[in-house]
Amino acid sequence: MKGFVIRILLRLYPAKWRNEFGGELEDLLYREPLRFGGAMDVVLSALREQLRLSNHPAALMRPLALLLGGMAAVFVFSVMFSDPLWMLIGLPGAKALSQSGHPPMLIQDKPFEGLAIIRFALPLLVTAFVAYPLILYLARVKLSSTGTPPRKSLATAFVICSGGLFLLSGAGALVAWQHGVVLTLQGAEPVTRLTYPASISACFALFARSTLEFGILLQLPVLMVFILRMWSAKTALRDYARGTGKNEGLQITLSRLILAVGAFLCGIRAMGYWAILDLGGVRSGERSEIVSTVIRSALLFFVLSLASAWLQERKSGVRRIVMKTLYVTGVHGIAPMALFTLASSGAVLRMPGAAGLLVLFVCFVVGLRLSVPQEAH
Amino acid sequence: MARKPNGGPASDPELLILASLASGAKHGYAIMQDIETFSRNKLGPGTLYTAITRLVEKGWIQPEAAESRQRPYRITGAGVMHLQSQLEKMRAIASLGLRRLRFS
Repeated sequence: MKGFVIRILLRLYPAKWRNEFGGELEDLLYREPLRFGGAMDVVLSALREQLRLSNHPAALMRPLALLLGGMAAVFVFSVMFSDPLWMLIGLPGAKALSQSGHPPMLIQDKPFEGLAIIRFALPLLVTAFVAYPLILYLARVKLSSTGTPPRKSLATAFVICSGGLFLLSGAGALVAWQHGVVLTLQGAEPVTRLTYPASISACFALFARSTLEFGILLQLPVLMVFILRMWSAKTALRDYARGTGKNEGLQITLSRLILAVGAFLCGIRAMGYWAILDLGGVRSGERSEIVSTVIRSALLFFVLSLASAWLQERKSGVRRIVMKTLYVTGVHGIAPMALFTLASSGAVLRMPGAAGLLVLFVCFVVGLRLSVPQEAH
Repeated sequence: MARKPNGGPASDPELLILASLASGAKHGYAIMQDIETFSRNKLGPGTLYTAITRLVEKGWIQPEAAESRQRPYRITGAGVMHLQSQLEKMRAIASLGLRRLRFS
């Protein structure tokens, strides 16, 4: 246990520093009893070293300048076009109020509220969305400068998947907002999120929260796989992705297609509930319907994961098929389940949702640990 | 930059390390124990190595070749001069302060 904690603590330092002093610090940490205060001292020191530019490769400086320059440019551009941008958010809100029988206007609760939200907070949100892929690019450059070739290609794949998903989900959230806020204010009682009289900041806060959480949630599987592949035995995870026997490429394509269809179906359902529940509210009669939809989605996903695992591992034995099913269900099931849970905001799925997430995470870890080839450990 | 000392200049990690190495080359663990003995200051492992990193960068100490993982560090000429000037400044301030306290 102590060895594991020390390894984690050392990983917090920049690679360049670790190469120079890491061995000595490790030796020192082994000699002394490891207490909480000592561990925190190491964590803070590692943070200080991370913040020093001289500990990072020169190749990082250009992307960093690009990131800061890009963020500044996007912010200025967003301020210039803040009025049309606000129309995308404010109009559906006002329309929803009108359709639910209220005057179609968002009020100002505090002085300069409109100015602060439209000219500052909204451009900041746009900047955050544009900056995210740039930050990922920066992470890729950092990893590529120290990593091995498989790690470099993994970093590239992660940046493309994660950045693309984040932008796509942001666009999807915007579309959902256009329709969802109107639909939910009309139909759902009680309206839990946006009440009349609705202020500009309340409308913006709801939009920003929903958009960001949707953007982040869809990336959970990508993040989980990436982090584990970066930190685990590389060969084990590479072998793990492979199928067996003849037509290996076809098997993998088919199995991934099955999972993509499953993830799409569950994701669409979760997104629908997110649009309805997170923006609106829950009618008492809908609870059992939502719970049964979540259970059906989870079962569907489990069956699809089983089919995918069977295609890849049918010659390796039942144990490996079961473990791979657990792993795949965990990786791909966590995002829709988190979305369902968050969407119902505790009204329907607080405990079942949290328990479901825990079960899926355990499935993922157990499946991963037990089914990788033993020789790779 | 190493963390600012909480207990005044006499607990500055860089100064303590230089003072420890003034009596001869030592590796990290020996420096930590020596500092604890002569100053009653316990440096955390992270603080110790942050300070060692800065001192090496400034050229005030340098590592010596070693077969084990723990390299001994020795103070350089520039490090001796810096330590001396810092201690003299501290002595001047201390004696002035004590004198003033005596006549207050």
